[in-house]
Amino acid sequence: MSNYLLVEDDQIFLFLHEHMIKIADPSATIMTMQSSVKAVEYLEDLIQSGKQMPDCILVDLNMPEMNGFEFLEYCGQHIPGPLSLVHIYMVTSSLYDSDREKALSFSFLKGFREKPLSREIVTDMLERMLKEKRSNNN
Amino acid sequence: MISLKKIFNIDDSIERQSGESESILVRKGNQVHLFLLYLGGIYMVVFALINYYYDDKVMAALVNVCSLPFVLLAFYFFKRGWTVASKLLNLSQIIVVIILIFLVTRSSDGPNNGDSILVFFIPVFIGTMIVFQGKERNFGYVFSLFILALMSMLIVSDFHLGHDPAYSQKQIQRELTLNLIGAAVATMMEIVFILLVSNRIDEELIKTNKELDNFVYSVSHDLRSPLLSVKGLLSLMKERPMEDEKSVDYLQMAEKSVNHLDDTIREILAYSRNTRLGLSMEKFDLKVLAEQVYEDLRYVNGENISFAIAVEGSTEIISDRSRINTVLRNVIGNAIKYSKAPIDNPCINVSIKRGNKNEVLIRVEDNGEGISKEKLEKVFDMFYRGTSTGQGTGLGLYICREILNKLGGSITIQSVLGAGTTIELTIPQETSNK
Repeated sequence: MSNYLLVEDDQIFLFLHEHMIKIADPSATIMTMQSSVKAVEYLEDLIQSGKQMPDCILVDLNMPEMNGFEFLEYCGQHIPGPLSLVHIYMVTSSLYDSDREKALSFSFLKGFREKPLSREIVTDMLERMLKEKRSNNN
Repeated sequence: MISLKKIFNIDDSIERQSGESESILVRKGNQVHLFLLYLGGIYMVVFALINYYYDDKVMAALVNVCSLPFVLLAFYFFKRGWTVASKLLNLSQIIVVIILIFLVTRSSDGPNNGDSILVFFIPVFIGTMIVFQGKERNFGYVFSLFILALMSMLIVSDFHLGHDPAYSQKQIQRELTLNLIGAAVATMMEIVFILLVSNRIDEELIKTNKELDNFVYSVSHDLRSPLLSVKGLLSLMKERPMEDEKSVDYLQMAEKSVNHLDDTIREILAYSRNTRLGLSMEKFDLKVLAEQVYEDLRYVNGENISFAIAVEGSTEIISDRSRINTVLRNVIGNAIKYSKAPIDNPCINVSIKRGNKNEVLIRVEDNGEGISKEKLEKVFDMFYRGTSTGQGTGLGLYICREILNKLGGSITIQSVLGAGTTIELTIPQETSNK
């Protein structure tokens, strides 16, 4: 069972991605956050109470208050333990190569995916996550 | 007026070399500047002729003739973007000055050719005034006066040397060396000045470019987001069991259309980002392209519209396929979109034919909603939307006009409210490609 955190200001995408994850990974636990600031507060709570971090974080790029890059910076600085254990993806509608390059400059980012998430994309994410979990357990 | 483009056989590849400035600061040829351009050209030709027939200054005439293309070329570039223009015009000045110095020092009967030097200054002065207009005007004046002062020194010393028998050959040589150093300093200062001005212009262009880029970024994001939501919802629907076969078909059609629309946004984005890149010319069949465009668009809401293409002569052209595709997509798309009015036989008639100068004329005629006269003037404005029923972004016709300007063509519109709209496109063709 995997825990997902979706950070996305657009309600429809939030709904879409949540459902697509449920289709590809029926056992998933999904936390949705429409505000990146609230998502940071949520992560802050998890860190302070020593609770388990989400297995996978999907973050949008263009968001008010705090954009995807700022959110990634926060993750890089505050998420405890090896960041490679948390699968962070940027999911965006941006067609700009510069955004892709900037996102991938965050070494811990697992990938840059285009909206909307398809079943294939989610399945691929899940497989990568399970594969890494297995190799870590061994 | 004779086209400079034809005189010097300048093709669009030169336009590409003008870089970023070209896309943003495409300046329309100002009538005054054009007048000065031709004045400068005529002046130089006349001067060359007078020199040739009136006096034995064949070399001086040749110099004039040699410098003429540079000045004219510089003015040509000025019409497009003046960073390159200023560089070229000044390059011509430098060349003229260098040749002059060479002539004066090599003159067999002593350095008494100075009286012709002043005449060279006039086109240089005019050119400098034009290139360094606007905010840089004061620099232009100061710079021109500086060059004038140096040239005057040269003339005075030439005159003095040429008419004073007391001067020994050694003294003449020394004076000439000083003159040369003075001219070299002037040239160096000129180059430094050009570089400084060019840098300042480049900085302004970079800033403007960045602002434009940010704007396009926001627009493309806002346009694509709702579209991608629909795309996602459609794929979510496909994941659900669906018994009705028709629904599956419709869903696929909807998905296809959404994908095409997404592609169009990508194209527009690519276009606006790549305006600084050159045209990508290729040979293709315009009729086939128009049919493809219609086929792609008909599922939007054009299934009941009759579509016909009439052709006169060959429809094979050499142009930028991607850009023409965008134009046709917008124009035919509009014809489909605005055929919604409850009319009996909605139709779109496209005709393709060759014009007098081998250009391709495309006429797209519909019997749709039409546009009122007062709105017609604004349809090419950015973000102008003529109707509340349409789903347009107000960018389509603006982009069409921009693309056709880039291709050297044109777009015109005629419309009668309630009766239909006719759009005419002109796509230029090189006559050698007949």
